[in-house]
Amino acid sequence: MALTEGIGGFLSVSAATPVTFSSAGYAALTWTEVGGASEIPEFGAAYSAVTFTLMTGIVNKFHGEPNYGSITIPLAYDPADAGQIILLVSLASKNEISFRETRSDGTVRYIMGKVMSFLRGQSVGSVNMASCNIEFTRADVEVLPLFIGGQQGVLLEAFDIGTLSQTISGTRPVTVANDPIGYFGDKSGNDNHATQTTAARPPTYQTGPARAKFDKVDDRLIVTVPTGGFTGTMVLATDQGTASYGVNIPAGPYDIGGRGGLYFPGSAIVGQLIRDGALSEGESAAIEAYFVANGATASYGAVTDFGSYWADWSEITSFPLIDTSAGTDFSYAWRDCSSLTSFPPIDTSAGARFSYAWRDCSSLTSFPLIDTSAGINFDRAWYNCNSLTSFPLIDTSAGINFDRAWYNCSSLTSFPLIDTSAGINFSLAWRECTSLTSFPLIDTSAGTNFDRAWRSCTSLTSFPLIDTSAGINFSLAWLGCNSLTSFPLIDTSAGTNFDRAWRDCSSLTSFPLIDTSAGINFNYAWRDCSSLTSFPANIFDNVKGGNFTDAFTNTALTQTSIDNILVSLVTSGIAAGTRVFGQSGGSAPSSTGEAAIDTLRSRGWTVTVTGGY
Amino acid sequence: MRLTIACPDALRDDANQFAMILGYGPDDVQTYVALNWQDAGGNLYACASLTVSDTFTTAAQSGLQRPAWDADSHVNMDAARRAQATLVFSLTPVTAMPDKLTACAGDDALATLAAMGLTQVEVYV
Repeated sequence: MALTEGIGGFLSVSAATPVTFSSAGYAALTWTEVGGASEIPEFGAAYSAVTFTLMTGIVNKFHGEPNYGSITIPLAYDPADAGQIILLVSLASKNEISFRETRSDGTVRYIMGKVMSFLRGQSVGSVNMASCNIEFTRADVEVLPLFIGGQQGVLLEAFDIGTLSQTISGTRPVTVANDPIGYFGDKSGNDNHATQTTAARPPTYQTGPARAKFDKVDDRLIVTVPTGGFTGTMVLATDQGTASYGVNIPAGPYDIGGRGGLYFPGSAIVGQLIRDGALSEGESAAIEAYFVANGATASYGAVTDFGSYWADWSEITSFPLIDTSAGTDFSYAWRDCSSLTSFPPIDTSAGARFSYAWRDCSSLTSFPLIDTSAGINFDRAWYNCNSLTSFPLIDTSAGINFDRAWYNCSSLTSFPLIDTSAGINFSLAWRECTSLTSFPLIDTSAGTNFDRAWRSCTSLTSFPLIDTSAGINFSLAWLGCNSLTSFPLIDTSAGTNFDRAWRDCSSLTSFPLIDTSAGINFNYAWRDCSSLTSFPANIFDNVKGGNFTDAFTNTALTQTSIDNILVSLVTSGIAAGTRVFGQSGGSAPSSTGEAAIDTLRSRGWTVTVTGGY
Repeated sequence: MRLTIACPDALRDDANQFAMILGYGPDDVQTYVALNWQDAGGNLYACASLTVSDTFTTAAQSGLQRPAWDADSHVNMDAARRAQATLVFSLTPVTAMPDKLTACAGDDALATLAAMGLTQVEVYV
């Protein structure tokens, strides 16, 4: 139980009327403390009872008209006190004026009223006394200390059922479990109520603890964030965990309870506070504790599936160090959290699935050394994290799927020697990492799919002798790596698809004698390697397919090199299936090459070479 | 009772007219908007889930009347009736179909959608 001492409280008045009867409106007034008060009696709205008796004899009861009440304040009379003077002037003018009750804990209540009497007297043994009677004329507006300065924000408390209604009109109060919540009253004093006017979308009220439950299909409430937006802190207390976030929410409609109705860290709101103006750590902790005391789950430590929890929460500017130690599935968890600039070292030691986890976190400049040792699926995990300038040496030793894992991490200038020994799929893994100037000798010995793996890594000047012995698909693998000046003698003995593999590697001058014996498709493979002059003999002696369409178009092959290629194709004996060869640029073949062309054409090949033979 | 409804892409306009009759008012034209779900065949659906009364289910399967709020004839009654004609209502999950408005009872909306053969669409490629 939280008790507050009465000592230290006081009453203030203002002769003015606020522009709006909200905390912001009242806070804008100039206030004068009423001196000499010894007590502020209790006050607040009371409804008359309306009854209707059925023939059954049961008396049905309803709320009638509200009366906002009255108080009589005992005072030590001081004719020079500015606050008492305002009361006396108000009595004379019969004007409605503003009152502010301040409690010792900083909580404030605003209310409008009229001074109906200001009686004065005296007695032996006491100071001269007065008593002022005030009749209140409007509903009071209670403001937590966090909003006293007129700060904008929202405070939603599902455990205050009086703030909930089934419809936006407020005419059907929420009373029992499963009632829809179409109106969730804002308790910050700012009238930023959360509402829903589409019948299928309201969350439902649940008890034990009291909460607003979202179906994660289409349910959400909408708060209209006022001009200026909210830049500050959000404390979100759910049935699965409670945490505080830095937020930057623009003016306009804002989803409460799930981005688009789909993504939410839990399944129900117990309480949510958003304040324009950052809370201190102590304030956040106090609000979290307050929500937890009212039924929210404190920690995310029991959650195993974080799938899509914060997906599309682009308003989050900082993420807390929550307990994620039980998490096994982090798929999509922070996808498109595009305002996060850093990420905390959360415990992901049990995590197996990280697919899309940080995709499109495009403002992250660094990433912590989290424990990913159990991670199997890193599919698109850091896709488009294009502000990352470095990447830590995380444990990826169990990782199998690295499909598009670092795609378009275009600010990475280096990459660590992570353990990728279990990796099978490296498709597009480092595509468009355009600032990488070197690449480590990672273990890719289990990799079968290198489709577009390093495509458009335009700053790579060299490439390591990685183990690609299991690689089958090298389609577009190094396309556009136009700063590579050399290429290593990697093992491509299992490779079948080399479609555009080295296309536009325009700085390569020579090429190694790789094993192409399983190769079927060499379509455009070296096209636009415009500096390529030297190509080895016998490289295609054992290929299994004849698709060399435009394979050497726009190259600079020497006559020896083009002869080497044509003779090697003859040696392959390909006489069925696709049989197309293309070369342009560089030298025309010699008579040796022309003889090879004749043989190829006799086997059904279509051959195009420099010089037009 | 919680009812989870899968509306195929082609029926969205008609189904939103139907929703205005069964729901609160004109804002219910936004009931089926985002095509966030798909079946095994790749057909897209907009889905909704809500708690309903027996009155709702009865009304959904009875002759449709223009709602009292619709004095200005916002609701296209013909479209609403077309949507109603495709309605499949079931107390247990049934497979969603691309030419039916499929409504299934079930306490857990996500579990019901899964049982209807629907998965969340991967928007990104």
